[in-house]
Amino acid sequence: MIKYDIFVESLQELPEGEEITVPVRDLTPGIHKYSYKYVRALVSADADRYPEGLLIRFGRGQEYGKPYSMKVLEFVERIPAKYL
Amino acid sequence: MKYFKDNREYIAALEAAGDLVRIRQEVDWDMEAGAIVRKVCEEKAPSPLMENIKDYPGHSYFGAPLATYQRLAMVLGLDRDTPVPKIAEEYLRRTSSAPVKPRVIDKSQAPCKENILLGEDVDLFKLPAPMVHDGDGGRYLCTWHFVVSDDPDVGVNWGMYRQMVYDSKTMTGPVFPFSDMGKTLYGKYIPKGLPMPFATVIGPDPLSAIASCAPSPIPETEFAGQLMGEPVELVKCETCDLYVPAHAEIIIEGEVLPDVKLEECPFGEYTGYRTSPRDLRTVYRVKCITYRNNPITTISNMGVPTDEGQLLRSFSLGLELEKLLRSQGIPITGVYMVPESTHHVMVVGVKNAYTGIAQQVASLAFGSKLGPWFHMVVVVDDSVNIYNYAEVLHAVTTRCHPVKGITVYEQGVGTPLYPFLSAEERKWSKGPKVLFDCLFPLDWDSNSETPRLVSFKTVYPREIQEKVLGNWEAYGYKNR
Repeated sequence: MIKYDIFVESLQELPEGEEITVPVRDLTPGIHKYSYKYVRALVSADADRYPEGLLIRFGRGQEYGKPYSMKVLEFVERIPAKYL
Repeated sequence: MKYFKDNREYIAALEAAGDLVRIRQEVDWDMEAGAIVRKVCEEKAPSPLMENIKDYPGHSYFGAPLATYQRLAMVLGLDRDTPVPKIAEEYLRRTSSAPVKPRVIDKSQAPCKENILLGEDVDLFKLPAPMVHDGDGGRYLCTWHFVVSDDPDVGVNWGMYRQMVYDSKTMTGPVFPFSDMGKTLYGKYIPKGLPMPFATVIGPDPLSAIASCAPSPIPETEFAGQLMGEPVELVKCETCDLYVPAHAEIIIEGEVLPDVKLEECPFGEYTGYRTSPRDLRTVYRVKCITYRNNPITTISNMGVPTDEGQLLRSFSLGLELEKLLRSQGIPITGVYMVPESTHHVMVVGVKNAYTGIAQQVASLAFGSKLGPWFHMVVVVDDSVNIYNYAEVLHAVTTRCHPVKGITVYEQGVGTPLYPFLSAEERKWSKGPKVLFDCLFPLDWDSNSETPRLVSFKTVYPREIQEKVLGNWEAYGYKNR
C-alpha cells in the first residue's frame, strides 16, 4: 500500500538501501492527507523491499511512474523546541 | 458608497445576478474543487459555491470570487457591464480620495470570533485546505486571502502571500525580500532573531481583498476604507496585537519563525505554469484559529488566464502606475495592464510631446515599487486605444523599430516566478526588462517621413465618414 510520497529533483537523491533523512508527505486518506513528516529512512527502487509504499514526484510535480518502498526508522522534528 | 461588508452579502448579490452556481452534491477537497474552479476561470463561468465538502461538514468553498471584470464592477457598486475604462475611473476616483482610518470594534460584534481554537485544539487540517492542482507540493489553504503584518517603523501591511499547509500547526510559503512583508521580515525581525507576528485572513470582503493586492503606498487598512467610503471594521487578534477584518471568514494567527525554513512548492502559479522551484521557504507557526459559523473558504485557482489574481493585480498595477506617472507630470493618456499577460505587459498611452518620453515612462515604471511584478512596457501614442489588444499589437508590429525601438534593461528586479528565467536568475530574483517604444520619432519630418495611419477615422474627411455612417443600413449593413 502506498503510504507516502516525496518530491525529488533526481532519483539519485534516493540511494538504494542507504539511510537518508528527507521530508515526505503522508498519503493516508482522511483530513490529514498530505501532511508533511521529516523521516530518517531507508528507501528502495524495489517496491516490495520495505514495508511502506513511496511514490515519487519530480520538481514540478510530475509523477514518476514506478513506486519505491521505504522503511521509516525515525520521525524527526525540525521545528525548534522553543516554538513547539 | 455601496459595498459588500462580507462575502455572504456578495455571494447573495452574485446569485441574484445569475453569476453564482450552488453546488450541493459532495465535492472532494482533493483536486475536484480545484478542478471546478480552474474550469470556471477558463470558461469565465459563474462563481461556484460548493456547499458539501468531503470530510468537512459545515464548511463551504467560494471559488473564483473576482475572476471577471463584471464581478469587479459589482464590488465597486457599478453595473456589471460597465466598460473597463469606466471601472478604472471609479477605482481612481475612490482611491484618490482622502485615506479612511479603520474602526476597531468589540470582539463580541465580530463574526470572525464566533469560533476560537487555541493550544492543542489548533489543527490546520480542521479547515478544508484544497489540493488545488494535481502535483502541488501540498494543500494551499491560502489562495485568496491576505497576511497581516506590522512593521515597527512603516506600519501595518496586508499582502497576498500564498501559504501551504505543512503540518497541523505549520504553513510555509515564499516571502520575497523586495515585497513589503519581506522588507519587514528580513530587515527588522530576522536580524534580531525575533519571531514576527502574523494573521492570515481567509475570505475577506471583496474590497479588502482588492486593497491587499493593490501595490499602493497608502496602508491597506486605509486603502480599503477609501474603496468602501467608510472605515473598514477591524478586531484585535487573540494572541498578538495585530488587527484583522471583523467580517472575514477565517483568521489564522501565529508567528513567522526567524530561524527555520521548510519545503514549499511546486504550485500552479499565476503565470500559468509551475515555475518557482521547490525550496526551503518562510515558516508560519500557528497559535490560534478563529472562524465564523459555517465558514466559507475562498479559492483562487492560478493557471492560464484569467483568474482573479491576474485580473486584479493587472488592474491595480496599471492604475497605480498611472497615478505615479501623472504625479510626475508626464503627459499620459492612460495605462492598462493586459490581464492575459498574467500582469507582465504594461501598456502606456502618451501624448508624444517630447523625445525620450517612452524611456522616461519605462525608467519610472521599472524603477518603482511596482517594477518587480512586470517586465514589459509598451508605449503608444494617443491614436491607439490602449484597451484594444488589436490596436496595441498593430502599433507594436508597425511602429516599434526592431533595434532603436526596443530597449533592454538587463539588471532589473524580478520574481522567481517568471517562467522565462534560468534557474540562476530565479534564485537571485533577477528580472531583465524590456521597453517597446511605439512612438514615431519626433525628429522625422511630419510631412515627408512620418507614416499616416490608414483607418476609417483617420483618412477620410468628416463629411465622408458621416455620409457613410448615415447610409450604413441603407447600404445593407446592420449597425453594431
